Amino acid sequence: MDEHPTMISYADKSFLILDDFPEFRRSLRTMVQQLGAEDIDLAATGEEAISLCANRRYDIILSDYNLGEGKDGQQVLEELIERKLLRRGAIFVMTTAENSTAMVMGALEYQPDAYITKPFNKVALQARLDKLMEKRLALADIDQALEKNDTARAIELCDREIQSKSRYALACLRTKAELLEQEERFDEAAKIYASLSADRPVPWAMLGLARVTLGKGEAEAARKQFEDVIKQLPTLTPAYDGLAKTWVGLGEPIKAQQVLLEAVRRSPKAVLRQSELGKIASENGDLETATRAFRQAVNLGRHSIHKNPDNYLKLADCLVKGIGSNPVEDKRSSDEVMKTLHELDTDYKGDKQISMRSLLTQGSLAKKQNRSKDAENAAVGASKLLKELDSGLAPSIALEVAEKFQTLGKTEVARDVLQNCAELYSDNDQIRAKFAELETDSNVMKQTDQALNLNGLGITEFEQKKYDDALLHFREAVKLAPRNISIVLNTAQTLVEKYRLQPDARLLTECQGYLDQVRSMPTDDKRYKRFQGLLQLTQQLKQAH
Amino acid sequence: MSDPAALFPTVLASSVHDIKNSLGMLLQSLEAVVERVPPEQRPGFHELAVLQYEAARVNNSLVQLLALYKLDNQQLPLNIGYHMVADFLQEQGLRNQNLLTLKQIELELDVDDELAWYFDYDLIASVIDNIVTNSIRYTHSKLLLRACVEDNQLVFVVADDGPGYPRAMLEQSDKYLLGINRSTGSTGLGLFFAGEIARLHRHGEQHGRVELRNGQCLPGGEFRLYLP
Repeated sequence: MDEHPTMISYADKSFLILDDFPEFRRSLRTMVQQLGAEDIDLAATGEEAISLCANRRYDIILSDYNLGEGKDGQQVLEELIERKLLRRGAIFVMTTAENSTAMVMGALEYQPDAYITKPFNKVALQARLDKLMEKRLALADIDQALEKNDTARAIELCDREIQSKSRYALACLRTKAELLEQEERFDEAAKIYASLSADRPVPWAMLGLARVTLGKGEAEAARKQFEDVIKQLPTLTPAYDGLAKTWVGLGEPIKAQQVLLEAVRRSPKAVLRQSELGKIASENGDLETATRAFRQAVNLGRHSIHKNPDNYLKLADCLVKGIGSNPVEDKRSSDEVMKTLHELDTDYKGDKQISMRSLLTQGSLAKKQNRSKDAENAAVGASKLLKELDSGLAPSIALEVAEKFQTLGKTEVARDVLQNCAELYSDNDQIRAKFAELETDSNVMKQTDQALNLNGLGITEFEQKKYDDALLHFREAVKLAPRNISIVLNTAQTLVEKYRLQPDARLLTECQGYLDQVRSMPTDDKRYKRFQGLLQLTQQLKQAH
Repeated sequence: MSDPAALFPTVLASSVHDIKNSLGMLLQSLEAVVERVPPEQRPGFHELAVLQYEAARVNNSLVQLLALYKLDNQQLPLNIGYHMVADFLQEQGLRNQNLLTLKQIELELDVDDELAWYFDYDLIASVIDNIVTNSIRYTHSKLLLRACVEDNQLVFVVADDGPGYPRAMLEQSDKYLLGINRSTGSTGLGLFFAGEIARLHRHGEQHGRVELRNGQCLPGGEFRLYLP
């Protein structure tokens, strides 16, 4: 059985072996060498592996799941995918000392190409790698289309595999369903997921179906589906996240918190889940749970791509809020606030928005401890930083920042923050409400209401391809709310469509002008991609004109 | 202070975990040792065979204990995927290749290349691996791994040309955990485990199951795992 029927060569493939045990690294290297590989790098920690991957793209990565201190194999994989350090066609195999299913179920969205249980020998590894190479080879066209973000082509290629009932048909069906979901073609995606999960508990299909139902806005049906998934597959933790999100949508944040607590109990290591739990618990006024969750998010996040400054700030805020119970606890909390913010300031040095928010929290702490001079200094420092910011604040951050400025006695600054944000997000209810509280002059809000009405008319006309009528309404709307992101983007898009029918350069200049009005939008806004796309398109059209 | 008795299951589970890690290293090194023995000297190398067989057995038992512990606590995850059965069976054979060579056992694989089915790869692998290790112990010279579809169910067959399953086992095939058989040291854990894992696999109302036979495909024992 030594000779193998396939003729896959590993001589020209680059390997990375990641394991914390030197013994195992050596043994794996020997195996891989026996397969004919020559280009082999070794790493003992996740951090080391990632820095190697930052310099070159490996063809095959063999990573252990459990790497002791620091990142684990799953976190390495997540970071490689998020940072795009892994080619689509590369192969990532997770080696595990125990049954891997728990890992699979906890991280359904970032899956390696295969899990292989230790111990294994050369022949078993070779058989597995051969199959994976064959698969990548067969699906290379799809990988290429996905790399180019050519969704239509990728779906077409998937269909070809599915129709020919190839051995990769099911894998392609999954890829297709996920692509349809991304495109928000929910009904088509639902059909695939439903057909696959009808009578067998196929985890990703069951979960996909519930997710799509939620995407379609059928929260009650989605709740039933998520609950059914959890009943059948209680270890599938992403289902709890979906159910929690559904409960929030149904206006039941307490139930959402319970569900997340259960998920966190089952799988405590997910940073995003801890931070979600923190947010919901804060909203529920459960300071203790919120503090614990944000603390976990901070601690677990240190080694993760999901490390997020918000968790540090929220932890500090929760701790500040909790101060006032008893002197011993208070001392401990205030120490933790300072420690947390110090780490934040060090890790995010140079990020003015973070520095400002950190200062504001320090100010809140000082105020709570009756150190009024320190509080005033922090507030002044923060308002200085606010002026130096080069992009606007997202609504939730603007609300938080404004509230702190207000507490620190800087009502004028708070008003500016909200006004700035309200211009970009005049359709955000929370911002409107808060702004209305501070703003005696309700003229701005009236204008926005009018603008949104016009925007609605414009959208209907745009969909009917009546671009001239739509443009009339959008132009009117954009005059009333010149920095509202949605209205500006809609106007710009209509101008581009109109230009395609009547190539008049003035349309493009007008379009560019509108886009410039929202240039300061936060880069993490969902519409940022659309903004960039329109900006690029306008510039391309201008050049081609 | 917590009650020591209440802590026991957790302590046990984490110890098993620890032991399993060490054992993994042991088995991995053992494979490396076998690789160093010139191929022509491997067949019939009795001591190495004993080492590898016993280590594999301990490993299998631990895998099963951990899985059953989790099953009892509703923590055993089930990940039904769609897999190529031939690839799967081939891998199970290859994993045991060194042991088969050392013990001079001939392995036959019989499965349609295009056959694909829904099952949990890892769990079914530990079931098959365990039965294979067991058969290696009892077989005379041959081992058959077969997979086919019967009545819309996938059937895995592990057959050997040894003395076959004892009559008591065949007759009470639903009660494997009969206690330790003093003459063989068998606890029936493997079959109990197989039955539990089979039952987790369902299709509509139908659940998976295990069946034991003697002298059908080969003269010895025959283990059959049905997955709907």
